[in-house]
Amino acid sequence: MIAQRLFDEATIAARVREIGASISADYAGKYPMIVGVLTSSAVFVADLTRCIDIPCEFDFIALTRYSDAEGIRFAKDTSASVEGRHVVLVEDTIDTGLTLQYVTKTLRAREPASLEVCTLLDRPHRRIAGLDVKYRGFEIPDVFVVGYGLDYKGRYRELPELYAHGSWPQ
Amino acid sequence: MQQPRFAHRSEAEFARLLDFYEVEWLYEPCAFPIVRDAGGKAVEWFAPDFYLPEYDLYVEMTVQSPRLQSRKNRKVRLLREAFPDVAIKLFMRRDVERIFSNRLAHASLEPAYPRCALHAPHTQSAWGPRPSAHVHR
Repeated sequence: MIAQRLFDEATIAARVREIGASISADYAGKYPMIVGVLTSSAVFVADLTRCIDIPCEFDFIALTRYSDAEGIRFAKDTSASVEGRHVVLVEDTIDTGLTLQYVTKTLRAREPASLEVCTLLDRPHRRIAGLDVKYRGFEIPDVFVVGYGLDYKGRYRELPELYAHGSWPQ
Repeated sequence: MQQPRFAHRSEAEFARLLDFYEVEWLYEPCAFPIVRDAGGKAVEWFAPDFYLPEYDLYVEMTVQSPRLQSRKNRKVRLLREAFPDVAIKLFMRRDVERIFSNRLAHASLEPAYPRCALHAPHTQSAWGPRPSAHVHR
């Protein structure tokens, strides 16, 4: 059950435009590679890349789920190599930072020219891994968020706004 | 290698989470003197549940009982006062559950214990004994 609207379409769009403008300015002439973490960042990546007014490439990775016995791995890797590229890693939400820590460590080992982090939502309440997040959409309280690509058991991704769900998945 | 004897299921779940993310951890590696008497002798010690060397961070787990939570809050507060350079985070069982549900919303949460235990450095801490230290990676 959706409990409360957190950010409406106009607010999200304005913030995404601001982040897009920052990336455009920071990476002028560098042909950055925008790498989204599937699946929840897909809508954000789609909107963000259309707000970047310099040539860029975008790609996606996917991670194994917690139930997979072997621990965290890339279930889907980037289609192109990140070596020597200016990479902007795009997440939907940063919580503990452990997922992002794993991804950045893995990507850094491939020697990109640079690697920065962009997140739509930052929920610092349970942060374990201290991370340098260059582009941040919104800081949120300890709520489970749906909409704008984020789901609750597969639902609500299609909603254009961000909502707090009434409960956390069990 | 012998597994640590976790005091609570939430600790085992947290260890499992750290294993999943390949984060090195130690279980109750040391105890801090948090209360001293007038003569400077330690009269109360606090051994946080986990130490994460990579982040130089201690983590204390607590269940949702208000009485226990209040007791843990007090210990964490005293630790911060006595050792301001020591980073510690208090995690409730709810926090662990929410970490799972947030990142991996479709996975079932079954009780399980950490996958591996490489070695146990039974070393002496500067603050006290570390009788049950376990390094996991």
